[in-house]
Amino acid sequence: MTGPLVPFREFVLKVHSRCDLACDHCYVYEHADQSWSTRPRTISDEAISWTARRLAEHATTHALPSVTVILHGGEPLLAGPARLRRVCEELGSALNGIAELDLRIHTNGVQLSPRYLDLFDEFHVRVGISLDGDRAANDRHRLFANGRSSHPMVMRAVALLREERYRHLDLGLLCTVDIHNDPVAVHDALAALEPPLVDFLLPHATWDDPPPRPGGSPTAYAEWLLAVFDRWTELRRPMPVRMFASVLSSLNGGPSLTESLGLAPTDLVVIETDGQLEQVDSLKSAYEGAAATGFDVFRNTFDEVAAHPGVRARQLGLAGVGETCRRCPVVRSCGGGLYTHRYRSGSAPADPGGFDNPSVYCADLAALIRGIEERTAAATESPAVRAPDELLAAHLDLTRTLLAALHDTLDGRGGSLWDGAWRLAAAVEEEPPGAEALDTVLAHPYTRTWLVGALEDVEAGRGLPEAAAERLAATVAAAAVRAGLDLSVPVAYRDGGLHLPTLGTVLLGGPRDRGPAVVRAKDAGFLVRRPGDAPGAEPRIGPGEPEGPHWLPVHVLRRAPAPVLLLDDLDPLRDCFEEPATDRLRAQEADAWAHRVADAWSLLADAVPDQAAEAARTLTTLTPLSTGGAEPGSHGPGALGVGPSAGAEELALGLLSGFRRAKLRALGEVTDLYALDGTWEHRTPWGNEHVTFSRLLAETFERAGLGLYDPRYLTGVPEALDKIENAAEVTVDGKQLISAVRKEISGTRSATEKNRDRNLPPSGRPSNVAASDRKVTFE
Amino acid sequence: MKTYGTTPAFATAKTRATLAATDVHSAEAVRKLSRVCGATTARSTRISTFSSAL
Repeated sequence: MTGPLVPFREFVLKVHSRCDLACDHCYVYEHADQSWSTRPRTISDEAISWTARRLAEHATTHALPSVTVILHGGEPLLAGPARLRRVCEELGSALNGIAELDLRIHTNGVQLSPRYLDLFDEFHVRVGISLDGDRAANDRHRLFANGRSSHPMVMRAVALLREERYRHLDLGLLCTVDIHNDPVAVHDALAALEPPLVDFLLPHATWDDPPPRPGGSPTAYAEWLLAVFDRWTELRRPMPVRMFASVLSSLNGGPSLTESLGLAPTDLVVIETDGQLEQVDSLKSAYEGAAATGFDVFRNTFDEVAAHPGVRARQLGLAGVGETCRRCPVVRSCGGGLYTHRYRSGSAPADPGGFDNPSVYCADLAALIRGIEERTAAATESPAVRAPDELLAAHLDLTRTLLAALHDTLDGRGGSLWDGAWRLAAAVEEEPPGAEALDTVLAHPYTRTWLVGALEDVEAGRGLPEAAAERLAATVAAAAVRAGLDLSVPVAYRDGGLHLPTLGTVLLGGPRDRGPAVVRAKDAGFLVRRPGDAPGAEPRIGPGEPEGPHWLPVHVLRRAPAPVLLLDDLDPLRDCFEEPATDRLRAQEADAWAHRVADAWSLLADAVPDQAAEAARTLTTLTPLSTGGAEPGSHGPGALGVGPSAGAEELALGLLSGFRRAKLRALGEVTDLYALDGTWEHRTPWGNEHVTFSRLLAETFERAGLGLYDPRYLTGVPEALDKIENAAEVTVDGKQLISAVRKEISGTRSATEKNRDRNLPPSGRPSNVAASDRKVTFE
Repeated sequence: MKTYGTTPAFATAKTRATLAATDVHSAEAVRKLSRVCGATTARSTRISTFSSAL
């Protein structure tokens, strides 16, 4: 087994090994492993001290910002307040100044009283309680040894925890599923207690000891859980449910949220009352000694346990599940299920048994995940995938969040120019015209280049570059000018110029000149005043001011049928493409660009009117490049870099290819189209090459777009779409995109007729497309 | 990072928050930023994954 060591972040500390209930479904006492009977009842002082020492050592070694310690049992409250206080004090003291300590306790609630809760309040120990639903459900298993119900005592505990003085300690309720119970009654009983979180546990079972299926249905547990899901949905999701949240997260490309589901590597370890270090203790359901590692806190570090083969086996992601699971499309969500539930004992020396099997709940997990996907896909789909305007709105929201995150990260260290500009930004967006103007400037593609670069610099400890602070001032100034606000905006110019994004560059001196200035809107234009400028001598830029000694406006292409586009050869951040950007173009060169783009657009509007219309709505900025074809760079949506040499036909295909790649990139920046890219390999139908999912998707998306112009590009695309749709990596939004592509290419027969006489380059050979075949990967 | 509430709820119409009022620490914001930045200092509440507790 290879790969880096995964440090532990969750530590289950068994503080008491006995319980005051006698639940017949308990994995500690009623299943295969009976080691509890030989353990000390209560954790010893020595075990507490060594645990604290090992925790601090582990947190230091791995620079962990926080560790979670869950006090568990048996029933942990049986350890008593004095022992629990000692645990909290020792752990807190050992980790003080090293890592944040997240302390939790999980209890049956029977003993919970203010005596305990005051202690937990003192050490901020949060409390989870086991409750199997309504009284009838809870009484099915959670009884005292004499058969008496624990329900009234648990309800008292829950009520106490919900009191104002303790509510901040409430973690929620953990419910073990029994399909004999009424799922709606169980849900409603839990929801009525308004818990901050609920989780449902499948009863521990293995292939040797499978779960009861009274009706014989192979998906009885999925049906029960989906009935709960439907009720939860009907009541508008009254509380978070960890199991459902995990499935929804993984379906949408996020991580799993519980060890029971998903491929995330395990990062938890168990410390028994005698200091023995064990793997996750649900393994006690598999066989005697299944959780043992042979290590203890007195002699061994947590790193030694992390390297144990049994722990490593649960850190391997896809490589850690069986062959059947590796090929299953839902494996990203189920992860093969809880490790314990995969166990089957051997039947012969040649068949030693073990965990290399699907879960005993395999059919249930698949039905649950598919059931949740069917029920929620429409509500969780991002509208950005199908609606270009929504995509632009999502990107504007992302850009604004980036700016706010940068300001938050700076935490007052941005300098006076930054702080002043931030305050003025608030003033600019106080009224709708200013807010609209600010959003217009923020939506410029190179705003993203600026913000992502600055955030990376600050987070890497390099501090905010001066130019990055100056960009905020220039952005606010451009917005104030656009809105005509009566506002003086302090700015800074450098290299003899002040660039106002989307507008142009004010020339204020020689190439090395720099300094402060103030921008102020004036008479539908603006003026720029430097300290010492005599009143009336400062540069004044009128509306529609042509190029002159003090002003270089951004070129605007206005030649139909192309949309109005900025030809941005001024923005200092425009050099963000693989090929270098050109210097400032002369007016006649810009005019030639307008003709070239209009000619190419004419071809696109004729051959692919829908794509041309979408591009017209979303493309805002072309940046002239010194070489190459048309390509997106490192910027926000709306830009393409375009090389000099292409004729109209080549430029049309290049724009289409570039637009397609830019769109996929833009989608990937606001939603998750896939997850775990690179885990599987896929054969491309056109190149017979094995590639990652992201590359298969990118090539397919681009070919489908080009295929609308020249149907020869569609060869292999339907097969690729089938592969993508059935891949484990694809998310709800990835499927939505594939569905949209299928719809796009469904009418290509008519396009074939339309383009029959078109003098197109042979499929796969036009220079920009051949180049794109090499480039279609996400960065 | 493991968080709750990261599932996008696009059905709900979003209102424009001012820059100063933009929450950059919510699970949604962290996930949003992580798609374009390798790492961010924005933090979200960590959760326990141990199935036998919360």
